[in-house]
Amino acid sequence: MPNLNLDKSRTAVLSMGLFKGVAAHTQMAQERDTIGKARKVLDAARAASVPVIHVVIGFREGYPEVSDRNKLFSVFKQNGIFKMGSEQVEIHDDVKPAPGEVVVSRPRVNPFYNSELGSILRAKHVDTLVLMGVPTNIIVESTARWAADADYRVIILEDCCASFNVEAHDWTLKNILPLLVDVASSDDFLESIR
Amino acid sequence: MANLNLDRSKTAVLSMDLFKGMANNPMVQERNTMGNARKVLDAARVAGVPVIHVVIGFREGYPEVSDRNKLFGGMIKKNGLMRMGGEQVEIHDLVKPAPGEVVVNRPRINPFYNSELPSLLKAKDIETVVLMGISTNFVVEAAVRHAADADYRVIVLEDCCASHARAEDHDWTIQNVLSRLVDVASSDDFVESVR
Repeated sequence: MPNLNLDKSRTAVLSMGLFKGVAAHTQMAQERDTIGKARKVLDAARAASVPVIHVVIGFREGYPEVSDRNKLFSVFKQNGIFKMGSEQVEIHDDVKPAPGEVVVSRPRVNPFYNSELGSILRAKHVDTLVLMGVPTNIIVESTARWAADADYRVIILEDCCASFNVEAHDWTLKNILPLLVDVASSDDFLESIR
Repeated sequence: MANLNLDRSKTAVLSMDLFKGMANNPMVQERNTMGNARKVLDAARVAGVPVIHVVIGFREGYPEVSDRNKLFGGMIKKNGLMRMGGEQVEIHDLVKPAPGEVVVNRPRINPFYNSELPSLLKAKDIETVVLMGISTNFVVEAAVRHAADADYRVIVLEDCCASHARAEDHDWTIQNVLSRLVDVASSDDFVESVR
């Protein structure tokens, strides 16, 4: 198992989109125990004092955040999905924020885009991001692409991510993400901050 | 053929990394990517739709590159690739900038990241960007993801894009990612729509 050589004082874990709805409806997350693996990472990060930031999405009444030029989010608006406060965007019990952990809402796919995330990471002098989330090829991949451009060291915990189908998850982890960032497992992370 | 309903006064074409070094790629040759892109440039010029050329090119010593950046700090810098002024990053003759067209350099994959591109688009009140480029799954996809988040209407001209090595990389993202986030069309759709 590789040691990830983490500087704990400059590392943060981003836990993204691990909602109740994911556990209930994403077969891949059920089969691979994505939420359970993510929980182990959160526990280890907390024990090691590595900050955890929870990234969520949730639209206000009337979807004032959504432009009619945004193709994907216009679909959300039309179908009334991802409404703030709904169970669909409620963080799963097993990976809920601990007291004092920051929760950041994002109005777009990339969690850095027009959100408070960049300022929060800078305030903590974080230069290494450990990513977990659903879906792999949408939010996790957008985060990885942006964070790589922004000169963060990025580590994706592959077994703490899932997509709506296995093929979409595997495709990006094989063909895109390893070129841009480091890919590791929850066990690698646990070993590295023990 | 779909009419794209373009407002010409608020539309720009982004021509990204269509370099000489890409022209020998089998996919580019088989699908005539450069020729298709040229048709789009000609039509845009006739219609008065601005064309912006996006390129990449690193200065001597790669001062733009962080050692935390896996792709740029690793393979590209170590192998001396993508050097400013090198033929690898010289725009292909068929799709060269016309006099007066803007060329924007970018220091990262996403053309909007720490480049002058957003200011240039804002100055022209552009709301719709029409994308062409190589590779589909890197510069084009990064531009798509950013521009969609930034509330541009985005149209990818599929036959004016190609991936670096394998056609399946292009086809995968067009079918599974890009078409979910933005509109995917063809060079013929564009040419018809600005006629």
